[in-house]
Amino acid sequence: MTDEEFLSLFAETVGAEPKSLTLDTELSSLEAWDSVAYLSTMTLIDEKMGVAIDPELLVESRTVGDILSAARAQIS
Amino acid sequence: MPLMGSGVVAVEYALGSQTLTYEELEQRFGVDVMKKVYSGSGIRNRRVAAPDVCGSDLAFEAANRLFSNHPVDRASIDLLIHCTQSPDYFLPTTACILQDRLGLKKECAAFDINLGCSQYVYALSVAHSMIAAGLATRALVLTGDTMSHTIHPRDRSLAPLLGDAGSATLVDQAGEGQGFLAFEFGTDGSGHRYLMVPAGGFRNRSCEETRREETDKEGNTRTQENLFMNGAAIFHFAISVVPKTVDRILVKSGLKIEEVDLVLFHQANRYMLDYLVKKLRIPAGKTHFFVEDVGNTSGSTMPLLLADAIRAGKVRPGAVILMVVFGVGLSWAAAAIRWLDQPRREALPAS
Repeated sequence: MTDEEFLSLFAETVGAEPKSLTLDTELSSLEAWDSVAYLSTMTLIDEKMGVAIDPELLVESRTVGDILSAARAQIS
Repeated sequence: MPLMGSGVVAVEYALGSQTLTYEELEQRFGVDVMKKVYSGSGIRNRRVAAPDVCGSDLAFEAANRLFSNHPVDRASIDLLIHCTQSPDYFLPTTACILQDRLGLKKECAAFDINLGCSQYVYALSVAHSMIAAGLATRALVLTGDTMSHTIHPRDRSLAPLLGDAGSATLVDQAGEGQGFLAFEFGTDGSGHRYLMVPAGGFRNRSCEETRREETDKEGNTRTQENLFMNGAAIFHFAISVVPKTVDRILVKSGLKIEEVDLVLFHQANRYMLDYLVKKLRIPAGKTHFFVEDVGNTSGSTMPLLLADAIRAGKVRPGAVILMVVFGVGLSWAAAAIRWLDQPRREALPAS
């Protein structure tokens, strides 16, 4: 999955404007980044990347890019 | 090969008498919170027991319903397994009290199994094993929990999810290739803290400290004697373990997924179920849901679901059914069942 594809899907998941998101966007700046968003993000990554990401990695992620890196690291 | 097969002959249930509605929770937690909670659970209303009702009362009610609706001679039952995580007492075992309340004979083994959301399939496997080995001839498997009584009312991570119910299942001898075909089990105790009541047992005894309310950063209030769940960790566990468990039970039973008529999952919440069904590519007609208006009733969801699928006409004689359960422990289990063509005639004598 490309960075752009992930950003687009993640934006949809957290109800954000896709153009407003970059890999450097801080998760704490997203109003909808909460425990329900964890579930939808896990679903997104499991469905599109084929890996059930460890939720601890979501909790530890600071930026949107951190989530993508963690998912990619878990695949490899 | 077991000496004797066994299968489910009848199943009945009883729900908590009160309904905790979406609107009541909206008043408690606010409109925005409930909208979000609902989007992540798909549970609208939940049936809860009155404060003075125990899980065993719901199991008792379900068992009486079973004896009323199915002409089985209760004197023929020689095994009673009660599944609960909310027993009447630390001791004695609740099953012993139920043996007496239900008027079962004294030549009847009675014990509890406590394994939360997984307990029903574990109990069925024990009933099957004892019948197969000739240690019992007819088993009554009960479930009954009031998990809502373990939840702090201001815990929005749990109060909107859980309901209370009891059930009664009659397991009887069956012919070769009928009834239970295979079981699959699994445990990962490293995750036991993700779903637990941390205090009140012998490890952390009840004291003033364990009864003190604390509010977490998400705004959920609870004490150490209330149920705690790390929802994200449990979701991760479920989406990881369920697909593998389905694969393994298919291999064990020698079935192909196309040969299965109905796949029944523990009714944790609708959001998770919708995702599992989609991930496993199970056609809509080959599964069943019974959670949106009753809530997650822990170890009772599977018998409730089975009874509701029977009511909906989805369980025909000879149908192949998979049951997949998962939860506290962490534990999981699956069963493959060929629904009995018809119960042995002597199992249901004319009353």
